[in-house]
Amino acid sequence: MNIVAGTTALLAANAASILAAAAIVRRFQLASPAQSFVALLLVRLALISMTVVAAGSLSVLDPLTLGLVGAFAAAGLILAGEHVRAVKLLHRPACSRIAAVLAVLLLVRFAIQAWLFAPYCFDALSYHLPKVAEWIRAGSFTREMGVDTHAALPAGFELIEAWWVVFLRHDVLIEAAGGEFLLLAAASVYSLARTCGLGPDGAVLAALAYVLTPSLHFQATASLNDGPVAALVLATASLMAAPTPLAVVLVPVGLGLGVKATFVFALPGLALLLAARHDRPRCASTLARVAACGALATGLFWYFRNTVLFGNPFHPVGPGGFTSPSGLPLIQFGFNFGSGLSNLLALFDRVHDRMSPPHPMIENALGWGGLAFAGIIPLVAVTRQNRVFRILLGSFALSLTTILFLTNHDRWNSRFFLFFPALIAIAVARFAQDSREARAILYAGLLAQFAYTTVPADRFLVGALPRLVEASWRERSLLEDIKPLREHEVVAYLSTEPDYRRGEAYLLYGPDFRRRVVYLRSTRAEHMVREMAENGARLLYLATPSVSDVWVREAAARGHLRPISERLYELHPAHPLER
Amino acid sequence: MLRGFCSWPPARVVETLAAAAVILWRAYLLPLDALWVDWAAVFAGFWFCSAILDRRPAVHVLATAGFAYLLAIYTWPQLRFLLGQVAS
Repeated sequence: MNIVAGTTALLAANAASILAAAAIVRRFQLASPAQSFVALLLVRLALISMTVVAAGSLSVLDPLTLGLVGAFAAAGLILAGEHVRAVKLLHRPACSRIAAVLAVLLLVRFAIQAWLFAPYCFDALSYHLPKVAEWIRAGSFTREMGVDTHAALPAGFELIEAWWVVFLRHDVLIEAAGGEFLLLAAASVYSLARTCGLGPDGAVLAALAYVLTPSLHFQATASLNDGPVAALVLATASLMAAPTPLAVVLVPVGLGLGVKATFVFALPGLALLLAARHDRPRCASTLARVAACGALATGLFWYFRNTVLFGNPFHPVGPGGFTSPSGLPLIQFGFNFGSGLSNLLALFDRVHDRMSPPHPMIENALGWGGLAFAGIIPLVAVTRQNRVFRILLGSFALSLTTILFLTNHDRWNSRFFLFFPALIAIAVARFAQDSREARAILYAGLLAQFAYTTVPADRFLVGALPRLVEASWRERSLLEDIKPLREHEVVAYLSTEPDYRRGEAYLLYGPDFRRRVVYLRSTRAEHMVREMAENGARLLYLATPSVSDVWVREAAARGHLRPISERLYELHPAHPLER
Repeated sequence: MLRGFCSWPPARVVETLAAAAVILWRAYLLPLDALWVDWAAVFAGFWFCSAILDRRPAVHVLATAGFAYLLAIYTWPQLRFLLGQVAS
């Protein structure tokens, strides 16, 4: 499919998903435009997720099928007049000129970031995106997910990423998936702020302060799923804090189940919020129940798949958690007082963000930015004044605590509770309503965070940025060692890093998924070479040269492999299987 | 907007005692000359004063000053960090 046809299919399918979501949400009859908009974004995400799950399971995950279905659906919805009714659901909040300008600047800058940044984050390149590449190449879900130890974890966010790459068969728009969740986070914070009694302008400022949280913003540019989890927690909280029927609340819960287990860990606090509201309507429309069932089924799909493939819904995590072969605890299963206490104490060291620069993986830091750091004081002031805010704080604090006690203590776990600074952003915006001085400080903080969230301090990305800017969008990739790779090459990939088997496997596919990647799982040189030859792989890429070169050196000494660079080896043309 | 929620007011005494406990904990952990840039100590100082002052207008002035001060002590090292990165 060429670029024009792909773009047309992308536009038609997106128009269909928006109109269908609007048609469904209109029947929910929610109390406020803010909640309707949150529900609209959620139902659209649920529709996309269900479509990709269905297409992936039926082997029709291709631009032609999805484009045709999207075009017919969009045409039907337009003929039914849904495009006119959908516009009525949209409501532009009355905000100050400064807030409106900042919102537009943020939108434009995110579009530039999405366009220029190629996928760069190590975790995404190792286990989130290789799945997407395999699905797009095969046009269906695949058993092959890569060799990373975390490859089989739920992939609800990857469904949205697959949606943004399937039509163009190219990853240039892949960050739009993160952008969708950033928008959901902003809409949810706006809705929560309105529930707490803030005016439209204050609520917009709260939403801006939150989406400019460095760690959250960079998650959206890095194809990682912790930002989306935060957005779904906030969406659930915003619907729970309002008099919304339970069926509607279950839509983000279903989506969250499928994105990451940390969403489930936040549920006790959210349940507190659910119990605090006494005036929730008991009846929901049939469409709301259908949407909730669809979202829950999509979320539970991954646990069902793991049960079928591995006999364990939580694979690779067992009753004792998940430990690497070298004994390193990778994923905790259940409550652990020791790790919880360590996590709790680490918050005080990490809040200053002095130990690492702003990065989506947030190593040894919180990455909440200056406004959240200073916002602890407005948090106290607002908590004292506002009863709804106190209930929200209690709910979020409980969610934070359960996450701290249910996850391993490591350098990167601050990204599991990215929803919390939303509450501080609301407090700061509420506090700024009371005086001009506080408002001036808020604007200064917003400007500083806007500057701070331009480029993440990722050496891989920063080093390659001039090259990415100059490159054509078709070739934009971070793989530097690309020259010896031919266009439609089969490349063998080897990662023998002992704990996570991690490496930048995704880059080998190329931005348009033109190359096939063969994941080598053998630990003996002769098996490795045989596997390469049998799959027609001419080149071998080493994810971790220092560890894996034992096998590679052995194969080279036997004359099977010839080194091209530090990470690339060529199968010897004279190899008997190659011939 | 507020209807439908159950009541859950915090007690001033609990707040004052909790803030004092945080100040003592940070003073025990850190040298005294590091307390003035310690996030938890500055926050607890404000919390303690505001709990005692209750709803007097001075609380808002104190809160605004504390907000500005914390933003400054966060932003300044971050700015140097960022400039150092750009320079390298």
